[in-house]
Amino acid sequence: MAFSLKNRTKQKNADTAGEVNSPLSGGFGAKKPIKNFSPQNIKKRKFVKSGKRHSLIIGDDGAILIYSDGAEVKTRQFIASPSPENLKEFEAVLAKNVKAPLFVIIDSMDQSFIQQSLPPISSLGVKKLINRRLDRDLGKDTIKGYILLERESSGRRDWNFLMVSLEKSPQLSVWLDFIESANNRLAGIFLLSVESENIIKNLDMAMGRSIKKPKKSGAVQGFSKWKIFVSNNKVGGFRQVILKDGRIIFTRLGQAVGDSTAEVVAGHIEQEMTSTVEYMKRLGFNPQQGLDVYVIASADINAQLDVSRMSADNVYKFTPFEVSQLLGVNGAAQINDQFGDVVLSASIAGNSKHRLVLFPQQALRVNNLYNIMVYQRGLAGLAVLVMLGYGGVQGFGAWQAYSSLEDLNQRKISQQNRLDKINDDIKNGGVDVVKINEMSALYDLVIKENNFELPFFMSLRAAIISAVSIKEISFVTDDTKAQPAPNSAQNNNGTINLVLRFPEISSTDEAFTSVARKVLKDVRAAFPDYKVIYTKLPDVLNKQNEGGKIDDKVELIKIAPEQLEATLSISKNDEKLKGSPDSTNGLSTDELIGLRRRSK
Amino acid sequence: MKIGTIRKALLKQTVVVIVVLAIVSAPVFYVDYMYDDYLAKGKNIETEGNAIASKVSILLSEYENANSKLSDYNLVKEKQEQKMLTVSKSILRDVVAAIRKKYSFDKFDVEMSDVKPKVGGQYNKPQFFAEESNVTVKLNSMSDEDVFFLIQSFQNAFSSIKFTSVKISRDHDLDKNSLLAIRNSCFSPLVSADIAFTWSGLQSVKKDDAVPLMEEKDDKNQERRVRVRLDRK
Repeated sequence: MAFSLKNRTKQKNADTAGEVNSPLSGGFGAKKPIKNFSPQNIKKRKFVKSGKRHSLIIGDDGAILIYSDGAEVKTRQFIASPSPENLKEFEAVLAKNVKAPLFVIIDSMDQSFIQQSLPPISSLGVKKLINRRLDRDLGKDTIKGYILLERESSGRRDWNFLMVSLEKSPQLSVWLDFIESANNRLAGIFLLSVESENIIKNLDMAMGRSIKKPKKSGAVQGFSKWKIFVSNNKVGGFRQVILKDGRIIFTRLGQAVGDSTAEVVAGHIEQEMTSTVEYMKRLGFNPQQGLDVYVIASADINAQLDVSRMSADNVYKFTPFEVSQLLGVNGAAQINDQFGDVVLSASIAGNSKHRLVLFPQQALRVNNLYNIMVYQRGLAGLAVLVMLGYGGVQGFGAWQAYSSLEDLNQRKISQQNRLDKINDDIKNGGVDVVKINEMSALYDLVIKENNFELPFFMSLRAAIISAVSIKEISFVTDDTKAQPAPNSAQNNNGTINLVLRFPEISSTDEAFTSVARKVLKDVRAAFPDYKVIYTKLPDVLNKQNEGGKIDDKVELIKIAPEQLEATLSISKNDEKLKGSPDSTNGLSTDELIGLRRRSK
Repeated sequence: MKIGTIRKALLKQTVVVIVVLAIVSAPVFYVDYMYDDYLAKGKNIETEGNAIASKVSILLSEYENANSKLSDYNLVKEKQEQKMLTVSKSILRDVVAAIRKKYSFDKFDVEMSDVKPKVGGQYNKPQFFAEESNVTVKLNSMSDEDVFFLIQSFQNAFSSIKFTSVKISRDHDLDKNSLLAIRNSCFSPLVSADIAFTWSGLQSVKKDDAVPLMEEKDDKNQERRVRVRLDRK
């Protein structure tokens, strides 16, 4: 089957990879040097991932089942048709390791490629739109996928993509049923033609050809824009894949030529390739853009193959064994092997990157569950690690805490022994500590409540001159609370009021104030720490200062003998006497008796 | 692969994962529990050790305090034996009787309220507590000096007296009538006194210890308020 794509828009960015050993020269038809594969150029690279896997390559002429372990091909088995007897052999091989996933590579004609364009939408939404287009155009049950091509570089900048589908021919349906019935997980269905992109890339890398991406602006000299990949396969025939800028542009499948000789087969390949170049010309191929040819065939065919007429810049002819050496797939081919199926399918299955992976709906659900299993395993492993880590930290902490318990116990016992010893000492000493302390403390408290000192009163009496008699002595404690605060000095902490009488003085204000001053001075001198004031004086002294007629003559005021009384207050507490009664006209008692100059 | 197969595998794996997690987590949780347990035990032991150390410190301090107050304690004991720290109506009566013999008073009226524990945490100890009673004294006397001697007598008899009020008034001057009265009866009420004080003492919580401090039983007078009236003969 051959197919062609619509003319693609011009690409400013020629994207050709590879290190060219000879300069580009000449046009189409010009003689070009042929680069034969040289084992010395092999660069040891790992193109195949580890793990056990089955890969099944299916073509129109049969199928090969390969079992690989990492880069090592263990077994390979060919059947010409999917008859029940043949399939039983495959079932037996698959059953040997059901945990190994199954990679299916299709190299038949039941493939369909349609190029489509989408209007310029956001890159985030383009995949969703393409999937919707696939469902609409190809139906939901079809095995399908897409390859996103580059955007148009000019104009509307449309999105270009290839819609790829597998046509369910009766033969392919038998194979799909077989795959579904197997107990091995389907890792995906791959198209040999599409995956050739990666194979060519890997071959270039293995041969030491640079795969650096060239600059976007224009083609880079020394790099071929076009590549033709030809492989002689047992199950499919001559598979030709044409790449432009490293991307598949079309593919052709030529039927095998029976039991012909090497010259006949080589001639057939040459003829097919010539036809392919004609197709390429219709798609804009220009020999000046460069052309590399990769051929995988037996040594006999390669020897007879003459591609000089194709004016290729580089022609690489490999035997399947050489390809297996280049791609690092050991045991995939023997030196005399003629076909590339085994090495190509083993390489595709072992490659970590794929261009297009297709799944039947059922396999998609199975894979989703498989992914859940993988995530579950990962999370469980992580949880176990976290728990072990946490357990380790806690265990270390527990060990430390346990170690410190003994030390703490020793310290506690030591303190307890000390306490016991002190208790014994006290007991043996016959001293009742609690009793002594309690009684002493209580005694101190109650003893401080004594607040009446007789010597003070005796001194007070003695301080007052004999001309004045004491009519009344009263003592009132300042402590309004029922109980004093502990440790507070309560001695004489009260107010003492003395009602004084002045019987032996003349009944004038002058005489009264003179004696009153004398008494006040004497008491203040005797008790310098106390506040001493008159809190009550004869009323006539207040009246003397009231307003009235101003007279130049100063008159003595007579005081009735029964009014010749004064109250003297003594207190340590200033606050208690602050509010003591003064005269009604605002004068203090000191001012009234002339002990202090009047402020008004 | 059939979807049933992978479903079974997923189920099986889930069970295995649960079992593995359970197996791994069980010792981890046990270790975690042990860690918390050891920490708690350590904290308990530390707390107990600190409490004992604190007891030791307090005991030492109390012991030193007791030693320093041993002389005070002996004084207290002495006063206790002399019933100077006991609040009791019988003691008051004895004191008043002694005063009456010594001084001449007229209308000597003494009232004493119930003996009650003093209010306040500082007055209540595990073994002892302070108690008090309010006493009022009213009398007539010939001189204020006699009143002062009365006060002094109370102060000598009782260790803790807090006077709430003292009022001494000269009711009569020394005149002819009062001199005559003195000549005739050796007494004239020239001065009146009104005294109020709070009488405090100590009491033991234990009954055995309380005996020397306890108030005596007085069957004759069961009234709440005790009134001792000493009429002048």
